[in-house]
Amino acid sequence: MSDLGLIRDLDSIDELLVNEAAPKEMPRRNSKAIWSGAIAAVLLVAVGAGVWIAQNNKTVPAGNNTSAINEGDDSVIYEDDAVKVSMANGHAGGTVSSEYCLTYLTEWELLNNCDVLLRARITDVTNITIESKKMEQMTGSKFITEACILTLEPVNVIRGQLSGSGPIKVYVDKYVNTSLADLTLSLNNSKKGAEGLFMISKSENNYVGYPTELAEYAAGDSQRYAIIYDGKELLFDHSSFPGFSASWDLDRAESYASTIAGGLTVAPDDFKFSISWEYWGCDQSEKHYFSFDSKTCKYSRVGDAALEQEYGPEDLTADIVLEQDIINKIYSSCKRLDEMPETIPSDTPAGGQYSEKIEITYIANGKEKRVVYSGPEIVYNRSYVHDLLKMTETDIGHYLDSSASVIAWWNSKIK
Amino acid sequence: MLVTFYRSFPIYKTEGAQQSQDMSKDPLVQLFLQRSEDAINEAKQLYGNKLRGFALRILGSPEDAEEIENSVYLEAWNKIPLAEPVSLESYLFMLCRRRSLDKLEERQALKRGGGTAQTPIEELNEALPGEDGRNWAGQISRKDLLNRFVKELPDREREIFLQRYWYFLSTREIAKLHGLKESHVKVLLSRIRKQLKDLLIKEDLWNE
Repeated sequence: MSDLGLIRDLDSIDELLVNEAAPKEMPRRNSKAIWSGAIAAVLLVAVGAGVWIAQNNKTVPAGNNTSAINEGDDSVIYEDDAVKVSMANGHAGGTVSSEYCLTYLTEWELLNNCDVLLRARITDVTNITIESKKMEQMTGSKFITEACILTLEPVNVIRGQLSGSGPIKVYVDKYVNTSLADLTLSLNNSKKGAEGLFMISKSENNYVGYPTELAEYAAGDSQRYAIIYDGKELLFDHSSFPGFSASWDLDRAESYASTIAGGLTVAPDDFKFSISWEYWGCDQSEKHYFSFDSKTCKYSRVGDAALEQEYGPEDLTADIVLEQDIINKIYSSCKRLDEMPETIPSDTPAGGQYSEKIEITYIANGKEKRVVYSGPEIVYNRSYVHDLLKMTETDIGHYLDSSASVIAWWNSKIK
Repeated sequence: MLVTFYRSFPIYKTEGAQQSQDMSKDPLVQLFLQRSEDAINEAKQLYGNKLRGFALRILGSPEDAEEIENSVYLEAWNKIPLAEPVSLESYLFMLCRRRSLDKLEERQALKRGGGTAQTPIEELNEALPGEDGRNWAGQISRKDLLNRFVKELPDREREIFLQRYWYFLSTREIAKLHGLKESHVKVLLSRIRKQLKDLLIKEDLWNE
């Protein structure tokens, strides 16, 4: 009998059912097995002398070769032992002075760990192909991906240093950058001249496709490096930047980014918080409850048997002592609740199918703040808290999921 | 080109020329039916990336994924017009899935570690015992029952189930598609697997 069992049996499933279930946009997977745990979505290449540290200098003549992988290709922009970068559709090449990569991380980490946070204007969008020559550890194979090249003209440096002047070329890997690919395609068509915020970090090894610190990222994460204003609204990956709002203009986005990029706030000595999360699933028997109080370090969980596989035994009480680093991060998250009303409005109170009730209370600098949400399950992206707090190993991550979702939901409503 | 005969699936109706003409409005299927030399190139242009990506999920190897992609075009060429899919895209996906799973079994990747398909395979097989020595008749009735079970799931649960175990999406990706918490998706899948297991027991397909 096949080892694959029921998975194999699903081959016989009615085609119509399979079609209906097809994801509208198949998430592009950033598989560890393919990318050795990391993908660099962007190379930053400076055009013009003295802008970035020179690593390699190569001027490539313009070419009309539409097949970018062939040897001796006139459209090759740059090549070394690790990578070959070619123009996919015959556009003119440029001078490559250095390579940088953008790593995609959480909103906080992205804005803080980038070497330069730049407000820049998009002056050109072009398609290129990147071919990695490096053999993958796990697969032993090369990979090829498509990319776009954005040429940016700096407007303002929000964080870090950008010496010199002139346009900056940024390579964006479309294969892994679902959201940016969509943005870039729309940029291709009509968004030249748009301004945005761009987060750029220097790659440790200068390879295309190998940025730092991406091993924790699961497949499906979008490359997040830009927030672009198209004249009407902000365009960005909402799961990557839950604190931003599409209704903001770029000035407000820059102001908010500057706050975050300023670094993590250290929690005051009197900072304490408590969070409780009550969730109702499909039916009344699926109810989960978590609570954590930092004063007592007591964590408790009462949950449905269906969660046992993922979370362990149904009911659990534990002592969790948080490290200061985590407390600081939670404090930064709580600070964002300052402007929220005590009771977040919702149409129907929690208790029905797929609903939740979240209560967050914290004390800092002698002031207490309480926020309560009771209503339908909040739509959000868990990766914000998962990645920021790196607490997947403890159930408090699910708790703080809720606080993050409250934050994200609220921020999405801010006008 | 060698034309191979294969067993039709219930979803494809192959009797009657008139019915054949009416059946598939997909222009790409028409190219295959007309044995046009452009058929495979067009299919590759339109679906190549998706098919490779799909195979990649299952196998974890770009080389294997590319090999599977190429084998899918050849198989489609050989099997159409005997099989006349309504949609070439979904047909190619189906072939891709099958060949990828074949490859997975060949490589005994379950032992050595393949792509990301291992977890959903193991998950779903929780609804089954291990080696059960079931006979061919048992397998057929299990497939029918599975088909019936999936059809009868509520729309959202069915989509999530198939996205996980047919398309091999991660729970995180599924959560994002549906605007749900990842934990919620996991709970839903866990419940569905339990329902399936209960049904298999009830239909006496658990131990034969």
